[in-house]
Amino acid sequence: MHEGIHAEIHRYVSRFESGVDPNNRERLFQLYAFYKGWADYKYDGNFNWKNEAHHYYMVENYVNKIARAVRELDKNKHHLSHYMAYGWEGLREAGYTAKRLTETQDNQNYDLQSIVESSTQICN
Amino acid sequence: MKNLIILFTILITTGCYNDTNSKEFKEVISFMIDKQAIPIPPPPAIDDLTTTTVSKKIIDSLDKIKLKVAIYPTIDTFSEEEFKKIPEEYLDKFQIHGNSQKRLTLNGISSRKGHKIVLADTIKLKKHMDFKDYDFLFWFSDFYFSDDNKKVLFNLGLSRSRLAGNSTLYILKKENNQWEIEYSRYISEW
Repeated sequence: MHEGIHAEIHRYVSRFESGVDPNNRERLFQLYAFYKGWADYKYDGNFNWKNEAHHYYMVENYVNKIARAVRELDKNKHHLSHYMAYGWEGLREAGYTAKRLTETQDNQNYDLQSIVESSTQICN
Repeated sequence: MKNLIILFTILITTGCYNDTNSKEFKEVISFMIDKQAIPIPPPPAIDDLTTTTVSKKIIDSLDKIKLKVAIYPTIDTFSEEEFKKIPEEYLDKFQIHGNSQKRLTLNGISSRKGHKIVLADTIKLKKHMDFKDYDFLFWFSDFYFSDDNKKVLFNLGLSRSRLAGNSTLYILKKENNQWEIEYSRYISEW
């Protein structure tokens, strides 16, 4: 799911740049500019800045959506909070840096996830 | 005579160039950690759509952060695909040999910037997509040194999680007793 969202963001940017998609995700382009500038300044071009921009965009827009999708796959067996760890998968560092995830929340999410995993066959 | 043959065989098979305990090996790893372990700035506030650069104040504060950096404990020789990425002009400059996996130790590896360096726990790594115990994972390939040990070729994978990272081919040269990057090429991302 995480990789699928990366692909969708790449697709959107490519279509927007070629004039096919009229929707302007201003925040996404702001993050692109912000992290590209940072990478150029600090890393001499050898840094995956698009990944960073995507991850912060995903932190702001997709964590709940991923959690909801996994919950649906699990036939809504538990409260949404039990699936939040799936939403944060691969985004935790970005979540901490953006101050949208705390260690306490993260640990709580893991505990709730273990309840899901003990009662289901779904995988991330 | 028999002992001499054994000693000679050991020297040939282990080599002194890409021995993971060599001074150069540890120097290069320490250099790359200080060069690449850089905290990522937080994004601009969500209601601020005008900021597109990182402020000097944030850069200064990031420079003071000490990170926890993990090194993957084993290193492998280049794969066939990786060999193909080496620029032609460098192909005959390095002693590209060896085909065994090696283990790293932290002995002699340090950060001048004060980052804490640990060896990654490979069992824990398999359990989660995210790294709970450290900020960055450095994944080095084997090192291929030039005849005079003044240049080295290697791949470095740099990850913030199993779902965020990239790898780069590096050629470093040593001048005035300091390593510096002579060539780098972005190889892949994940």
